[in-house]
Amino acid sequence: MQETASAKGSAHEEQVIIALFGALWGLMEITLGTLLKGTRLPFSGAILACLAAVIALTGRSFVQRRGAILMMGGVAALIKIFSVGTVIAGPFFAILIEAAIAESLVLAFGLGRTGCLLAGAGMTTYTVFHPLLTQGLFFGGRIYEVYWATARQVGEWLGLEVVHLALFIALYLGAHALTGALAGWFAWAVARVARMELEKLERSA
Amino acid sequence: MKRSLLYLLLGLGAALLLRESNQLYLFPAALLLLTLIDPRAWRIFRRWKLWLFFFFVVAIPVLFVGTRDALWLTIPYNSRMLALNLVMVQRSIIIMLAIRMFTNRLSPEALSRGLARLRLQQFDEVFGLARTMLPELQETVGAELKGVEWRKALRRPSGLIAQLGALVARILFTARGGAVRNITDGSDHSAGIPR
Repeated sequence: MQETASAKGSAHEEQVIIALFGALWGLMEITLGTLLKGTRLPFSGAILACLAAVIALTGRSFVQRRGAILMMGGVAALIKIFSVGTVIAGPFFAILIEAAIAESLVLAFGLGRTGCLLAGAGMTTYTVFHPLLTQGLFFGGRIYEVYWATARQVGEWLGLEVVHLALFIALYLGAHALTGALAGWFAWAVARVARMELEKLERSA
Repeated sequence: MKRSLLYLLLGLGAALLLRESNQLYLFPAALLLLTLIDPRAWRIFRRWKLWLFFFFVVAIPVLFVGTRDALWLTIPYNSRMLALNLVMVQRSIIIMLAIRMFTNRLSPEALSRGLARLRLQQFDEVFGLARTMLPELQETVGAELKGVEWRKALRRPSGLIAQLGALVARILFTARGGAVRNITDGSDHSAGIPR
């Protein structure tokens, strides 16, 4: 009986933590997200993804339940939709996909430093692919042919070869991955400090 | 909801079937149908950036890429690419209208119910809890972040980590306390957030 109550308490506690970090993620999306989109700053998607990685991974380290990041992402995406008052598919799916990427990387690599670094990198790198995926969905595979032909033509004018383009893409993706990995490391460090502080608070209570 | 889904599928089907050979009748027919279903969906095309994007996607490759085999007002262009790119843009217009029409009819509440039906355990409860927490959380975190000396924190990230770690611990401690109280006294969801 006591065990059932304890399990119920633990499950409810986990729900509270998921709700808390999902709400934080949503809050960040509707405040900073709106501000960044309004100012039209470049890389605003990557900045938001880094902050989302910090929130989601910190939260996940206090919940042992599988799918917790996905639920936090679901909460954040819905808060964003509710704040706008209408359903906008783009940001909604972007948040859900970022959450799914982080969740799968955490499941595969754990919540240690490596898992957090990879999850942060995955979430942030996805922001590069999201517009391409959306455009692929709307315009079909033809859009990639157009991009490829245009890039080759511009390369020809500038005297650049395919290898230069590949290098530029690799650098661009690498910069995103590195920034995301830093966010993941930051989340890991914040979670570690928070765990110690929490223990102190629980001892003193 | 089911009817909206049917219209969405019809729109997507029309977009997939669109070819150079049938664009002259399929594209106007699809536009007419979607307009009759939901004229508000056209609002997405008010964004000038979208038209600029269409222009670049069609015009730039047509004018500069590949063999320019035709002339328009003495400007040489690639006629094959123009035909293919126009079909691509027509297809995207139908898909955008169909998705917009569908999302216009979809309320955030319906979307929340849809997510709850997925295999995410107790999602509706978690979302309800998050909405309850939101105002207090906004106030608390906002006040706390205002107190952070960002320039100093960015120069010395360890200080920021300690500050944020302590904030997370305080929030978790209070939220956990609230959760335990809810379980023991059987009260409804609420989680006090520390100030």
